[in-house]
Amino acid sequence: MSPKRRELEPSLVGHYAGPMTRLLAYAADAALGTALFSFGAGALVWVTQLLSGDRFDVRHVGPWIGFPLLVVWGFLYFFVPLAMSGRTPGMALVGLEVVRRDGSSLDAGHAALRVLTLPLSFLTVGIGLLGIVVGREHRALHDVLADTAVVYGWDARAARLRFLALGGRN
Amino acid sequence: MPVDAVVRQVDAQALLDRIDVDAVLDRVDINRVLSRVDLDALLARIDVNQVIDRIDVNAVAAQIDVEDLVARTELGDLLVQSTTGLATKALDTLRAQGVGLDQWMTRWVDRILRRRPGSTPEGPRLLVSAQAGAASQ
Repeated sequence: MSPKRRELEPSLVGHYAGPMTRLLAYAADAALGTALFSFGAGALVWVTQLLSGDRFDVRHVGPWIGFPLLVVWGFLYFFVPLAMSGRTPGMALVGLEVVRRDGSSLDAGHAALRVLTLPLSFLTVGIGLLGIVVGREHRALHDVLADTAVVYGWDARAARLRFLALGGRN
Repeated sequence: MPVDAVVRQVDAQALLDRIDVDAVLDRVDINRVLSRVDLDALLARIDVNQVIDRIDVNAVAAQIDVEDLVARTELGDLLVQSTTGLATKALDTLRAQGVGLDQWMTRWVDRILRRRPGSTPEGPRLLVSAQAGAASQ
């Protein structure tokens, strides 16, 4: 069964985003965040070897260093873009935006709270994410705790005009 | 023959050296000459493929300053426009497909949970009311 073909609706800006776009955005963030972390770790090892002159085996780094580094990186990856623009790179790609529950702009404090509570939605065996699918406002546990919501933030009207300009038909 | 003997005595090179070729050419009506030439017949005798085979296309192409060409013409703009247009179209398509899947899934969830159509809020109060106000103007 496939979804019906959907016309681009200019009125969708500011509407609650659904589960599929949020899943897409998270997948993009997970992929990009992991890739950047790996690249950064590789660069760090290279610089360390260059400066010390010793051969440095990354396997000797225990989880007590690697895991906290990953956690700090994960926090920064999600927090900095959210605090600055209300969207992570994955959300920007898919066209989503995080706002306060009433629709006002996200501030740094609520962005930090949202990122810090994000793991709770996963640690509850996914129950914390159910709200995205069945909730009236499509909010996950971390959205409820941080008083945020995710909306469509892309300019569908401009997309519609571009679509028509490129020869699209109704 | 005596004429042949005379001709043999003539220094043809010296004779040619004394001729002012430019003056002779000035007296020639080139247009009149060309009008008498059957260009079609002449071109029909030329094997164009053979001429092309003798051209080193790579050498000609190597002499073209592509960057300068792109800078001088609107080709650069066209390239940028087409590339940007493709990327934007791909992004719009990805997003539109995502929204379509969202709406499809939400419809089914609403149906399973027996929610009345329109009973769920479309978005946060400030955003939706601002949009409704803009639409009514």
